[in-house]
Amino acid sequence: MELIAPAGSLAALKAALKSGADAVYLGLKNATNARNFAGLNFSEADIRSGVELAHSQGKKVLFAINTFPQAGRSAEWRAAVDAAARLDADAVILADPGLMAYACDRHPDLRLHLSVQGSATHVDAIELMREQFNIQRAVLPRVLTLTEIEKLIRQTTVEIEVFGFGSLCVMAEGRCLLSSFATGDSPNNKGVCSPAHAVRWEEREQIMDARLNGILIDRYAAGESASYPTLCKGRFDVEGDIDYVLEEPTSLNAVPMLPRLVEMGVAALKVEGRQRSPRYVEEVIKVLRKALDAAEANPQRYAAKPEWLSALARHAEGTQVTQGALERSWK
Amino acid sequence: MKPLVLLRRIGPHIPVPLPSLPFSLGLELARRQRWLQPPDELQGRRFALRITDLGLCVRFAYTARGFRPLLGEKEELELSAALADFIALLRGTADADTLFFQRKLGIRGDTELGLIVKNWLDASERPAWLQRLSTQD
Amino acid sequence: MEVNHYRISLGPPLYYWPRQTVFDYYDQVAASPVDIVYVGETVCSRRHELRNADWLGLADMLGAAGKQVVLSTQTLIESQSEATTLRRLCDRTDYMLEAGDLGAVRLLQGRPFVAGPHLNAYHGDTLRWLHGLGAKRFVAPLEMSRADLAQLLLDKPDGMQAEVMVWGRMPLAFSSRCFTARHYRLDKDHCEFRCIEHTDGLTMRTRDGEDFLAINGIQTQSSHCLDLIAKATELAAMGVAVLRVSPHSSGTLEAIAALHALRNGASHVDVVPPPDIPRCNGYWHARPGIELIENPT
Repeated sequence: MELIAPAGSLAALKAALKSGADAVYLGLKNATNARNFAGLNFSEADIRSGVELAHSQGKKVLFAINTFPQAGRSAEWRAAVDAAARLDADAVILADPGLMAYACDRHPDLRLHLSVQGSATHVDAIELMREQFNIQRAVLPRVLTLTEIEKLIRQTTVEIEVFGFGSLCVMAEGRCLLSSFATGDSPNNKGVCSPAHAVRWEEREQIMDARLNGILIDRYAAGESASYPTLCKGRFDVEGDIDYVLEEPTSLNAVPMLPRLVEMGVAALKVEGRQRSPRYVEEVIKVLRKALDAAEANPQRYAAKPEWLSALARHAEGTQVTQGALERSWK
Repeated sequence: MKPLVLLRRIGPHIPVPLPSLPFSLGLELARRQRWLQPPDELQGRRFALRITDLGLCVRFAYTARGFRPLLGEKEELELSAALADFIALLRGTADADTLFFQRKLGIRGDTELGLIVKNWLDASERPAWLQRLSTQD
Repeated sequence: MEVNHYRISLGPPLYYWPRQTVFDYYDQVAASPVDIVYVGETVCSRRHELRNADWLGLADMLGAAGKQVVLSTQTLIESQSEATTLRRLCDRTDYMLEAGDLGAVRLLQGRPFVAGPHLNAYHGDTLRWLHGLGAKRFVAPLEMSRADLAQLLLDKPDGMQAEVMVWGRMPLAFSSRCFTARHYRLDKDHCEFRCIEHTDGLTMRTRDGEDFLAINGIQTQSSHCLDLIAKATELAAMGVAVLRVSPHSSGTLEAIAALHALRNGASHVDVVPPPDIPRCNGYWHARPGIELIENPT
C-alpha cells in the first residue's frame, strides 16, 4: 500500500520524502486545487525541483487539480493539466469530468486519478469514470464503512485510495457548499473551505469568538482550547441545545485498522493536510511509515503502538481522533 | 533573569515607537543577511507584535525598501504571545497552530495575513544561530 | 398569452413527511399550474413512509393530471444495498430520471435524463460530456452566480435545457452521518426516524441567535429560503427553460402560483417563505449565499 503525503510547500515535500512517503500530492498557487490557501502551494519552478527530487528517490508526485473549472474559465484548469504533463507529474488528481475529457484527449499518457472531490462513492460511479476516461485510481469520499470499501474493491479494477489520517471532512467531498453559503467561497468554486479572509477572531474578557463573514461559528471560554475556524466543526444551537451539531474538531486516524486496509487491497493511504506545516508532515509520515511497514510485515501480530498514537494525537485537530465513517457507529 | 524582570516592570510604560525602531532595524538586518526572506505577499503590509509578558508592543511594516517601524498608520495584523512562545515560533520548535489552539498565541485583525505569515515561517529553514537562541537567561 | 416561456418544476421532496401528508400534498400539486414534478426519496434510504410502489403510484397520478414526471435518484449512495436500489430504479424506462450522482449516469446507459444539481456541472465541457451521455437537461449548481450562469448558458450544448432552483431551503451538503439522529443522541441505525417531526428541517442557529443552517437527516440545508422568484423573467430571458421550486410544508403552492402569474404577465408578486424562515439570494449576486440583496445598485 502506497503512503501518500500532503505537501503545501517545497519544505513539506522534502520532509515527506525524508520521512518515508511513497508519493506526495501538491497543487499550484491558484483556484485549481482544493487547498488554495494564502501563502501555500507551488510555483511551477518549485514543482519542477520537487518532481526531480522525488524521482531521484524513486518516488512519485501527484498533481492535484481537484476543483471544478468555473464557467468561462476552463482555460485556467486546462493550463494546470498541461503544466502537470510538462512538469512530468506521475498522475493528475481530477474531480471534474469535463476536465478529465480534456486531459484524456490532450495528454493520453497522463495517468488520471479521480479526486475525492469527484464524489464517486460506489462502483457504478467509479466504473463510469474508468470507461469514459480510463482512470487508474479513485480516492474515496470519507463516507464509507470498511465493509463497504471492501465490497467496492472487489467490484472494480480501479485502484482505491483512502484517507488514513488528518482533519476530517464530515460531508461528502465535492458536495458541500456550506463554505460558500457563509462566505461566497467553497472547495468547489475557489478551492477553499472557511477561508482565512473571512475569519475574524474577537477576544474580550478572555472569551474568544470565531466569526466567519460575521457569522459566529464558535465561542471559546477563558482558557478553553480553540480549534480551526472550520464552520462544520463549530458549536451551534438546535432547539436550545448548544453543541457540535455536525462534527467535533477532530481528526481521522485509521492507524488501528491498517492490517485490514492492506488485506482488503487498498492501493494507497492518503494523509490530509497540505495546509499544515512541514513539521506536521514529517512527524505524521514517520509514524505512518512505521505503522504501515509493521502492518504489511506481520498483519496478524500488528497492534498500533501507544507512542505512534500519542505522536499522531499531538498533530490531530482538537487532539481528538476518530475512525470516522470507516466505523458504522460514527454515522 | 534581571533584564527581563526589569523589562516586565517598565515594559507597559514604554511608548510603542521606542522598541519598534530597533526591532524593525533588527528585522531589516536579518533580511539583508537573507536570514529572513519574506514572500511578496507581505509587501506593503503592517504588523504589530504584542509581547504579553513584557507588556511591550512593536509595530512595523514590510515595504518595498524592507522593514520599517510603523509610526502613524494602524497595523492590519496583531499577534500577541509571551516572549518565550514568540522565540519558539521563530526557531521553529513550536507550531503556530498548536500555540493558537492552546490560546497562547492571539490573532487580531486580518486572519488571512496571519496565515501568510504562518505558512512562510513554517516553510522557512532556520539559520543555525536561531536554533541556538535560548529563552533562558 | 405566455410572456415568458419558462416551465415551472417542483423538485424532489427533501423532508420526511407522514405518508398521508405526502399523498394530500401531491393532490394539491396535481391541481397547481406546475409543469414538471420530480418525485422519489433522494436523501435517506432508511425513510420508508412511501415505498417504491407508492412513489410510482404518485408518478402515475401526476402524469394523469398532465404533469411531466421525473423520478429522482438518491444523491449520496453509500452502501451496496443503496446501489442495488439505484440499479433497479435506473432500469425503469417509463419515466425520465434525474441522476443524483455519477453512478446513476452510468446505469442510465445513454437514455435521456436530467443531470441533478449535485453533479457539479460548472462549465461547458462538463455539460457537453453529460449531454453526450444522454442528459437533456441539467440543474445548475446552487452556488452559481448570475454572471457565471449567463456564461454557462452560452457554453451549453444545443438541445440541452437549463433548470435553476428559485425557491426553497437549499440543500447544501450531504454526509454519511445523520445529523438529526445525532442531535437526539441516537445512532443512525436506530434513529427512530425523528426527522419526521420536522416538516421543514431543524433550524440550526449561531450562539448569538442568528439563523444559519437547517439539518434534515444526512442533508444540511440553508436555514434561509432561496427566493429568486423576482428574477424569473430575467432567468427566462437568459435562456433558462425550467425554474425549480423545492417542496416545503407551506408556501410552495404560492411560489408556484407566483411564477405562473409572472409568466402570464403579472408585473409583481409577493411570495412568503414558510413561517420563521428568512429569505436569501446572495449566490445570484456573486455574494455569500446567506445574504439577501433586495435592491442591488
